[in-house]
Amino acid sequence: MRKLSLAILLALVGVATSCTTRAEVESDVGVGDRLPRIDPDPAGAVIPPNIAPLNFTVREPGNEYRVLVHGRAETSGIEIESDEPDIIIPSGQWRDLLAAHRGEEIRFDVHTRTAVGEWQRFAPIVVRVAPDSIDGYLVYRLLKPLYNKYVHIGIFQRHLESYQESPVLENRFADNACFNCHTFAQNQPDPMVLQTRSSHGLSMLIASEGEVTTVDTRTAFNKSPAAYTSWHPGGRHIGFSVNKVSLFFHTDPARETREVFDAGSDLAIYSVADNTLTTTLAIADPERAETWPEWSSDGRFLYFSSAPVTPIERFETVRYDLMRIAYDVDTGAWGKLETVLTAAETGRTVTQPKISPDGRWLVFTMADHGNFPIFSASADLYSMDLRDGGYRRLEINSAAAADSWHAWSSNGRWLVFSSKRRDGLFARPYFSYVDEQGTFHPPVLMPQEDPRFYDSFIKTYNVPVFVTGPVEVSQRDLARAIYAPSRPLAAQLDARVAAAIRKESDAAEVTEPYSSGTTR
Amino acid sequence: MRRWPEIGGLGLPRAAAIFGLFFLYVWLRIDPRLIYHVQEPVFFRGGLFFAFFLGHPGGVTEYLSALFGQSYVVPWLGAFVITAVAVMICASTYVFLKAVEVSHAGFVSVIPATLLLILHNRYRYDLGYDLGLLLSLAGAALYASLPWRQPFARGLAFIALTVPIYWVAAGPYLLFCLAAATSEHLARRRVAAMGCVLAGAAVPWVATFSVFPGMVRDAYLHLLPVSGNHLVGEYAVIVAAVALCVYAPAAALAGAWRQARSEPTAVTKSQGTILIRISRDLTFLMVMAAPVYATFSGNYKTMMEVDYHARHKRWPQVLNEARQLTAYNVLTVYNVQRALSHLGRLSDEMFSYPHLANAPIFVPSPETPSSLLVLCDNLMELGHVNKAEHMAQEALEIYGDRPSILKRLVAINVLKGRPAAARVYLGLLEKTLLHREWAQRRLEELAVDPHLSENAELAKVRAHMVEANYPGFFTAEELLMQLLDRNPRNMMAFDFLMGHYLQTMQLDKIAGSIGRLNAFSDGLPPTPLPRLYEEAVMLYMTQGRVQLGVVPKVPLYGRQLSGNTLRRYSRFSEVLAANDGDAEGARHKLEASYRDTYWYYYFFGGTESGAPLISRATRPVK
Repeated sequence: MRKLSLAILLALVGVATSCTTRAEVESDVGVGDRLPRIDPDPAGAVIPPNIAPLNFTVREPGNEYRVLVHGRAETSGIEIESDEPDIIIPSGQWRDLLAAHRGEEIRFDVHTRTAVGEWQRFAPIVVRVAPDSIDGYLVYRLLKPLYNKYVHIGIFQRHLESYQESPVLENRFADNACFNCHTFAQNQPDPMVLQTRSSHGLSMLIASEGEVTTVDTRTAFNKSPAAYTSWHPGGRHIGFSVNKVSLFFHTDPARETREVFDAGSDLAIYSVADNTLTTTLAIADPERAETWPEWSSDGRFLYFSSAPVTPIERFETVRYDLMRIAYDVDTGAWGKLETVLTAAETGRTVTQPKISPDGRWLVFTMADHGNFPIFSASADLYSMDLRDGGYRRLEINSAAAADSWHAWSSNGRWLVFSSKRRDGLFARPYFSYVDEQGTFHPPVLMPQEDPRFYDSFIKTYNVPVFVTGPVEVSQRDLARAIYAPSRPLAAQLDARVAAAIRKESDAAEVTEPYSSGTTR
Repeated sequence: MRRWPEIGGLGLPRAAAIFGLFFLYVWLRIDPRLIYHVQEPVFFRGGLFFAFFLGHPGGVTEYLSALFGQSYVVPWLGAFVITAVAVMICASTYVFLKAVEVSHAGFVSVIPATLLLILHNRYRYDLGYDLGLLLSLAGAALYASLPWRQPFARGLAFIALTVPIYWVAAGPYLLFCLAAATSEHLARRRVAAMGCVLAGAAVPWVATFSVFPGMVRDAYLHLLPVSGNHLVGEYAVIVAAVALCVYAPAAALAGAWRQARSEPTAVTKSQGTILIRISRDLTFLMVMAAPVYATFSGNYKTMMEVDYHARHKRWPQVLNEARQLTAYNVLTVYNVQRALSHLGRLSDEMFSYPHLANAPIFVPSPETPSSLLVLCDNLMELGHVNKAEHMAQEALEIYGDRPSILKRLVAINVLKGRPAAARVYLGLLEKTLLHREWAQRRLEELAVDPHLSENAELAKVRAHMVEANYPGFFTAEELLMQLLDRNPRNMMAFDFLMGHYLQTMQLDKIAGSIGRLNAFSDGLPPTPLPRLYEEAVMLYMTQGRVQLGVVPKVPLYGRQLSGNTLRRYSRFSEVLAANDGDAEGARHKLEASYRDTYWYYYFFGGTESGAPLISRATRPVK
């Protein structure tokens, strides 16, 4: 009994001496004027008020670490003490802290205890909590830096208020099919459309209200299936491109090894209700490659990128203009083709237009050349004010890495984009707050429960898209639609287009070609 | 005198001897080091990796297979793991057969060891199949041994076993159901037997609507030895896999049938003299060993050894092993030619070793997955870092996150000036069991010097590295020319270029490239012409004389064709002329003395006959 008492006493003494009180830290610090090195580093960012805790690793030498995350009052906040440099912030307290500081600053006070036992305090890391929430979910495709072969591809959804990630569809359960370009209407998780390629066919899957419909979008107009898609705000039409893309390679080690070349592409519109596909010469010009469709938020215009069809040998001269065309989905009437921004004016290629839900801002990517910005280190994000057509390079771009694959949140206050800024190879999702004046605030990297997650994650985040709720369609139903498709719905060509194509093929001299031929 | 446990007539010494031989066979004959080389099971520490396997039936078995597969790097330990699993499979079979009262269950239950060895003879056979089989047989043994007779209790037990067995092992659940049905059938509980069969049919199907996210086919077959890449093109393996799956229930039914037909007799022990018993045991062993011996391909093992040594840059061993080959594939040729180049012997001995007939020296494409890593190594050493990255990334996608590929990507990213990306690959390598220290060392080095300037291998590549941009697709010749344009003293590129011209019989280009040798003479008198170049130049001059009437001038830059080569060519030509119209006769006469010459290759298509093998290491790519 005496031995036991002694042991307890010794244990208590040990605990007492090993615990570091806040007072002790305060009295023992050398206050530094530099920011601590932490990773991921949110310094200066504006963060969503409903984001999961921004866990991080302290990259400063030390035996012990203490972090105080607080708002206005330094006395109330989250205090984390750790023997390891990995700082894990408790979720509940974090949520409360952010809720109490919407629109205000919060600070991370980082202290490290050096080998000689002294505490060192660094200048506080300041972030601002945005007044507006971010959508609850982010859907993205995860894949390795792919070349010709694909084996492991998956579309996942991440709950942004926690760290929970779940598969929407992994191809290991779908006979190793390839799929891409998941698209949602107005950030709603339902309906969802995605394109698939497998030994079972080339189909577009439309998941709506728990049902998965398989559509073969190939018609007499387009031998290639749909590629890049955009839902009309009405949710009944899909604008899509048909592309003839190929991969080729560079030998200069300073460059990205891969490059995508589009030998010719066209646009079309698919009516979900009628299972009908339509197009017009203005967006299916054989002399031009039209791609990256995007509906305006009022649904009156289809924006897209367009460049002259160019032989691959002159790939470095390919620069896309930004165009738009009016289309009335109710009457099927096309308006005039309009040029929004020319490559001649910018000297660069304009791709991936994305329009804010309020219809005011158009964010696009510009790069030196070509149509696939994520493979170009020169790719940067630009914003255009659609009221006056003025555009500018965004401050959120990285200096020398691709910034691309951007998408708006449902409230138009957040932009997600994929950036290779961390390492030049792997694209990671960043969130930037956009205020009412159209200012894009410094972005924050999507947080992970394990603060070292990105240090060993060799997949790239492709096509990140916000949705307001979880995608409910089951992986099983999506997979089954790929590997055991019921007879796919064959898209029908609009009678006017079909007649024009018949006329084209009958005529000795082609007078009104409806496609470049490359996609037939 | 002490008696050993009988174990169903087998006896512990016999069992120990059988599994001792099993262990030695796996250790010394199969060599788990080569299994690791072929499979390189991917395993990482941490919850994220484990969670990946928890999401689907069979995942736990896959995880354990990956974990235990790490033991293959230590050959005896790998052999021990495979043997231990085999012992447990046979023991489970024994318990099951005993429970259904099969006589001589000990002897009968060691037969699966033979089937397992036939499967392990294929280096691609995954340990996960054994683990799944073990779980299903252990479950069946437990179920058959249950003392309860009430249908309700047995039904509950069956359901209680169903959940963990299907979740942990997936497809092998069918074997559990089959064996359980057999035991119920033999106990004359026909309804229960039917129930077990129906469960086997229904559970995987139901799983596809609930817990199994994949295809219906996979819900039934995943991790069953009758599925998987190890079966491709191997009938003996297919037979062994099927036999292994149905063995326990089939043996139970056969035993019951035999007992039903024969009069009950007292079990006799130790009949005959020691000599008779020994000869009987030896016969039993030989019957077990014969199919194992017959299905092992020594040549395939040698090809894997060639690849193994090449991967570890043991060039003399590559050539030593290559000499023993009776057939080979493209992978072997790539490895051998790389070894010859590293040893400075490609220009003299290219045709003394495996080579391809009238084919490019390498094809820089991802269409032969088994060659991706050697292509990556070739291209990186040559100086085409982007091309090497292409091959490495294709390999990573096809084969998964193998440390050997990750290490190459570390080097490639450092060379490409992306040390942060190299650190990500190192971060993943740090999570392995076997390469953690290597990764940590490299991370420390990178922290000090992001370019790893002191690294001799990288420095060598940097000296050759193509920096100009050549966009598009290129043949081997074009790639090699780009390298020589960058650095005319790139010996490997020159070696390969000339090797390419030799193998593709472009005599004019060989003759026209002799001047490139001057780049390596460092101002000293020109070195003698390598033998194969001499032979090609000789041939070129002779052919020119025959076709054009004049001997074409070949600038040799102070070098001369050796007298020995002139004399040998003269004799070679005489034999050819003497056998004009009888190519086979000429070939026969010249083979002994000239089979390693360029002339012999040029006129008779090389020393090898028949088409190269297609590698069994090649995985089908979807």
